[in-house]
Amino acid sequence: MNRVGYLLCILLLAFRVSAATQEASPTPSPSPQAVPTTVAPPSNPANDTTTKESDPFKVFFGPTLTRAKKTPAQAANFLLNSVNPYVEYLATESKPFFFDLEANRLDKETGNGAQSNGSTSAVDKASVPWLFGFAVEHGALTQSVSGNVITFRGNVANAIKAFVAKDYLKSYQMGSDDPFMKYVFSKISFGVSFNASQSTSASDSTSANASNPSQFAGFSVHYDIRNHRDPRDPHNRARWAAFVQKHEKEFSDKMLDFAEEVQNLPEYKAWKKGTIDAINAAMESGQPDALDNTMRDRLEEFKRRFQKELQPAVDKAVASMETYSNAKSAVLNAISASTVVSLDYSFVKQSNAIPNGTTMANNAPVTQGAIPDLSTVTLIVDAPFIKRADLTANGSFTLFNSIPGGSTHGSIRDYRLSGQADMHLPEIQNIGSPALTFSGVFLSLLEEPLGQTVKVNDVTIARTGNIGLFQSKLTIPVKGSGIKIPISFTYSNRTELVKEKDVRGSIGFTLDLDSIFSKSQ
Amino acid sequence: MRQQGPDYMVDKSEIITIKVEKNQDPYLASFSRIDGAAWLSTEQNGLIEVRKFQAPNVSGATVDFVITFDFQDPADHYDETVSGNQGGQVVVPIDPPALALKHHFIVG
Repeated sequence: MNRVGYLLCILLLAFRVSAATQEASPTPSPSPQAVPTTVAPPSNPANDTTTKESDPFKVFFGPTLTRAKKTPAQAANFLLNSVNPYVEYLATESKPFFFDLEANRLDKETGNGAQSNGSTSAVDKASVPWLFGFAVEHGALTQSVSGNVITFRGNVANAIKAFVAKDYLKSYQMGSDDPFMKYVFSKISFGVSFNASQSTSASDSTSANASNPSQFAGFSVHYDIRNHRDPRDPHNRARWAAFVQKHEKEFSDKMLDFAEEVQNLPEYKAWKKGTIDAINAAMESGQPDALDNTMRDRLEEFKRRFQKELQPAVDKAVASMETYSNAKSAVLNAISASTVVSLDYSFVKQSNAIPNGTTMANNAPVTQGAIPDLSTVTLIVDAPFIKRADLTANGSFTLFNSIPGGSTHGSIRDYRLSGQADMHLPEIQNIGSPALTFSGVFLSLLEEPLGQTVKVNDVTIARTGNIGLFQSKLTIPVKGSGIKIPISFTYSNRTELVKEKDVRGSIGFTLDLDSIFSKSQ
Repeated sequence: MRQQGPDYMVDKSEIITIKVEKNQDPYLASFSRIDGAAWLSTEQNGLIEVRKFQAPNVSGATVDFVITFDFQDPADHYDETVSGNQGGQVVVPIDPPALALKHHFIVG
């Protein structure tokens, strides 16, 4: 697909959004959150205790048999030379090692999670333009609902690919060589929100979705200025190269050690010859299950004849698998903790995003046109701080899109700076790993909020002025109980923002032991 | 060089080339040590790695090594090409999941 094709797809999306907006009348929505484009690291397979298939033959040799059938010319090569399946098959207590760790990530990428199950009924209730429902069904967008506001989110590149390619694997590869797709579209994600409560009724939603002028609640655009958290990102090449040079090389050596132990067994040559003959016969028979049945029999014989003798070699090989797996997890964790810088713009159609009956600060009812729309620009930095700690910092400002009557500061409603450092402290024996968090917010509210509320520490702010809040929190887990004891400390220049149980002036302190007592009852 | 079942049959002193090519980042294939011979050359450039060794000059001698192919994405794919300077070439396509594949060469 060329650039013209991409642009046509975007224009189609934009046209549909624009048409719905014009036909509708405006509302606000909570700013749609940025769509995460980071690839989550896979779980550590060494710690993965779930095995769907309990038959060791199918678990460990299933993928090898698939390879063998796909390329019959290579059947004997794959079935006799694949080292790791033999190790795993003999290590009866071991867990699947090299299993397809990316399967879960694939599911996440295609947007088939709980929040984006492609249900047309949810789309009908929301009474949103048909294209969004269509996009959710095809995995181009994800959908979430918060109160009456339904938000559709997606990545521009992925949305285009999903529409065009229909197949995840093809869609992933599509446009991968196109710098325009790679460096521009893939870094942009978006969200569009609709207020379901504005729709006349669920029953007439299909016909009303384009004609009801009160649904569009807002949109957001998120651009990753710097984000190398995708393990496939070329910026991670050096990290992977170092991993391959050290850990994977060591692992390959250990696999060769095991293979040579097998090769040196006195009876192995006879077993190998018998197995080659059996594989050839199975392949020639053309029967679908012949190869599976043959290999099952041959491997049972292998186990019977060699397991005892090979046990020390198996134990060493399993240990190297675990070492390798842990090293790979460490690389993925480091990649997932690399610095991300992004810019977010959100537009809130205030009169559409606020529920009917909402009043303004002066108790006047909110009516269309009475309050200006809002634009918010946010710079987000998420970076590793010190060892075991992450730092997230946001800087933002919010503008009224039109200057409200009586304004003293023009169109700027507020500035906000906030930061949070999360630290995972070393594990305390018999207790667990406590988490220490420091967070701070500075808000300069220049104009009284009109419409959408301004909140700090979950408290609505109505008075203008500068607001500062600092909070630290130590969360101590109680091992094996599922209980966490939070100890927090808050300071603010406005006492109404301190929500601690014990408040002295502008300082609050909480030690919540209730959870322990409730557990013991 | 020719493939016979799971083994590669090679001529005395034949130079064997193994080329591993991946379709996308990250490159996660590695060679073990080589037993029975020595690497004549090893080159890696991005997603392509090429290694060469010379087979022993003794009939019945064997050369062994393992290549581990690991993956980070379901769309990842490797092509391994084994060829000899006396002729013969074998292409082995490798898709996920990860695999440690033994290579056993026998001098004819």
